[in-house]
Amino acid sequence: MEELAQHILDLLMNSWEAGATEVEAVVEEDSERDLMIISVTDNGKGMEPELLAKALDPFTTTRSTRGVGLGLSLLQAMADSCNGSIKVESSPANGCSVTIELQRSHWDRLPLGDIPATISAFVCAAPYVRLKFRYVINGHGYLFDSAKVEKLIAPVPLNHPKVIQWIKESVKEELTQFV
Amino acid sequence: MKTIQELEKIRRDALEEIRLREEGEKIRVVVGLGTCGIAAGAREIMNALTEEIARQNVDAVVTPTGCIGFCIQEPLIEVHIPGMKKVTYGNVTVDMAKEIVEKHLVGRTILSQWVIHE
Repeated sequence: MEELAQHILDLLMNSWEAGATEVEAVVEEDSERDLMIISVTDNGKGMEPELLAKALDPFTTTRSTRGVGLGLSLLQAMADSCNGSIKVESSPANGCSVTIELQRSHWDRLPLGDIPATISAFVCAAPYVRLKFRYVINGHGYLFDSAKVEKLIAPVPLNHPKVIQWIKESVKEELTQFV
Repeated sequence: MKTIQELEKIRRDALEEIRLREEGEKIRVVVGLGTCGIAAGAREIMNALTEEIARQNVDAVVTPTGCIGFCIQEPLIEVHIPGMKKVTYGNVTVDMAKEIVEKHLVGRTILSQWVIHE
């Protein structure tokens, strides 16, 4: 992975595969504490304690087609490489939450990358999952909520190619103004 | 500037298209969006496909799948056109994705040089 935004898309797709109907991604940059905190929280089917205990093991997967699952272990390796940490919390009743904390100024910290592309790809992939994306930088916040767009566009589905284009462009413009 | 008025226009046009089109099975383009796909650039492929489909006004939907086991050939896409056999393209680039929309989805010609499975 070359960008944090790709890891975020990977986590969002995990939530999709876990049957989530709502997922929230938060990126928080705090220059005072030199931290970048990223979390993805969903209401999917979650993990039993036994699975949770080995969730970061690359030889753990729920898939039957092959024996490896690399997403979370790659994320862990990335966090380790920039003085960071990873936390996975989950239970069948509460869905799943993955949080990473990185040293913002670390030489090896990946760039945040193309957030609008991650949002539009996920809404296209999972139009029936409500996505909230929150970006907080030094206390100022930006929020994207797919439910707002869905309300304006209904009954046209959110994954209509022109709607996806609109979402990507409008998030891009709003983030440019914000940052 | 992207405005709500613009979104409202997309909505009206899309509703009109839906009204005019006969109900039938849509064209589906499936993009591998597992960890392997994302690391290889599938997000850009998904966005390029959507952009080109919107630009050419094709009645098609782009959907995801997880890893299908050919990680080395990611980004992978499958094209499902009603009445035609399913075609899988591998090592797809943004330019290839646009050409696939133009030649395969619109022109109904399979780009056999990029096919890894049909």
